[in-house]
Amino acid sequence: MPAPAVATQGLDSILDDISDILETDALTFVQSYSQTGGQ
Amino acid sequence: VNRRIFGLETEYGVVVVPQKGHDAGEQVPTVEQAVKLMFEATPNAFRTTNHFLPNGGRLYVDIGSHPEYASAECDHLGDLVANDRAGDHMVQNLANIANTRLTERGVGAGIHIMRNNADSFGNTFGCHENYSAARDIDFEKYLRTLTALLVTRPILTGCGDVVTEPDGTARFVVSSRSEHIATTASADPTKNRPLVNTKDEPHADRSRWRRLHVISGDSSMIETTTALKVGWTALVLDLIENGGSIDDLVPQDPIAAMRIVNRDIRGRATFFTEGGRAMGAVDVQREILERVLNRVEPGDTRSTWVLDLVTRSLDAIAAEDLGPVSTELDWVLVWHLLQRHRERTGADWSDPRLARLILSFHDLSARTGLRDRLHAAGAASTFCTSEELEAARTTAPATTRARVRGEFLGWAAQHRFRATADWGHVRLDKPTRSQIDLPDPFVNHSDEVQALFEELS
Repeated sequence: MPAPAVATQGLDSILDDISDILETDALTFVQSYSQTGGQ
Repeated sequence: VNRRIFGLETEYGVVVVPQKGHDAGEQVPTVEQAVKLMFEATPNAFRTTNHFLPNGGRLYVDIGSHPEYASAECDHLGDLVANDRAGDHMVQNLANIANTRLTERGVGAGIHIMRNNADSFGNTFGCHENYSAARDIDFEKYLRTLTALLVTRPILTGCGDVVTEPDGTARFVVSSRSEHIATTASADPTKNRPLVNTKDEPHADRSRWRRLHVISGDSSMIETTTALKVGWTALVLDLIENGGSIDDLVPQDPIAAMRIVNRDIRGRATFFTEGGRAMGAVDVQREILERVLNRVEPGDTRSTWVLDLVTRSLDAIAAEDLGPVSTELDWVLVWHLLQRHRERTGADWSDPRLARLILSFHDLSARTGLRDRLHAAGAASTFCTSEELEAARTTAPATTRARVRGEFLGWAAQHRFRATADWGHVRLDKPTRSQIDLPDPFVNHSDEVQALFEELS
């Protein structure tokens, strides 16, 4: 049974919910991510 | 459909960042310190960093301070997805405990767990797939043939990412992991990262089985993508093992083809195959699908679900109408999230907020990650019920060797016996008893273990 398409409204709600996360020091967070040693 | 054991090994990334109120002069814990703090919270009297678990899985720290979870041996997709999600739950739970301890100690830093495939500096790690295979197959031929699937599979199973090209241009790609694959087969996966790691560790009777160790796949966040990745690959392995061929679909230059596939969300950009045809990812996947459909027996529910999603996904991608599969495929959902954010903010592809949004997609935290939010909004499909997910945290799959190991470890813990386990054996150390070998991953019972239960319970 095909699943329903993602609703733009639902994505907007999520993006609103995490706007602080995206707008506050996004670059610092991204540049903090250093993980060595994986296969 | 061949009965087959499969499993997943997920290497998790760790980010440690200052929190609000962080003192500028205060040192943020390193990844190594963060992971050490996490594993101090494991409920194990011996405080090791290698735990076989009552749910049949294994939780450990790998090279480079990666928390890693290997699922139990499974032979049903539902068991695999649930057991894999149990690993996410355990690792995030350890991070939550560690974060509480950091707060109690007045350290203004937070630990985030990423189920993804690359950090911000080009280091990569993986979600490795394991499939049992008979020892007597022609393994070289098997690998060569499988290349046709693995090079083009990311158009269905990629997790989506933004990469920066050598000229500085940022762009969307369907797979994060594909960018890091350098060869088709290798036994040295950290120096020459392959589609398939050829190390011969069957974790079973080696006279009967091999373990196909695929390391080119992305870490999937949506349950249906995980099920598709493993279920579709298993069906193609069935095809090859039962005499079918996709040799003519193998790209002449597999690694170059992989980069081409990765840069075209329409799945149309072409490369030349060994059969001399110019084909795109959708073309190759469609031909593989037709050959599988010609051989699969009707009525098998696992095959039906997988084949339906493969068909619908290829149709949607070919039609450039991704809506019908947008809740089921990782890269399609990430694409929609990024596009929607770009429409709302005007951000270009190099904007760090897009990179942050992608990391939120892979962040296992309920507070800062997206998975729970996507489920609540109906934007991400599920494959298992919440009851199945919860049960898989403590109970091993019932139909494989994992059941024996899981029950043994649960029993030993209940009786406060000291026990050790590995994939192929269990052993009671205190009180001391002989090691019990479990060489057959398809067998879900052990008379020797039952005798132990009866003797000491």
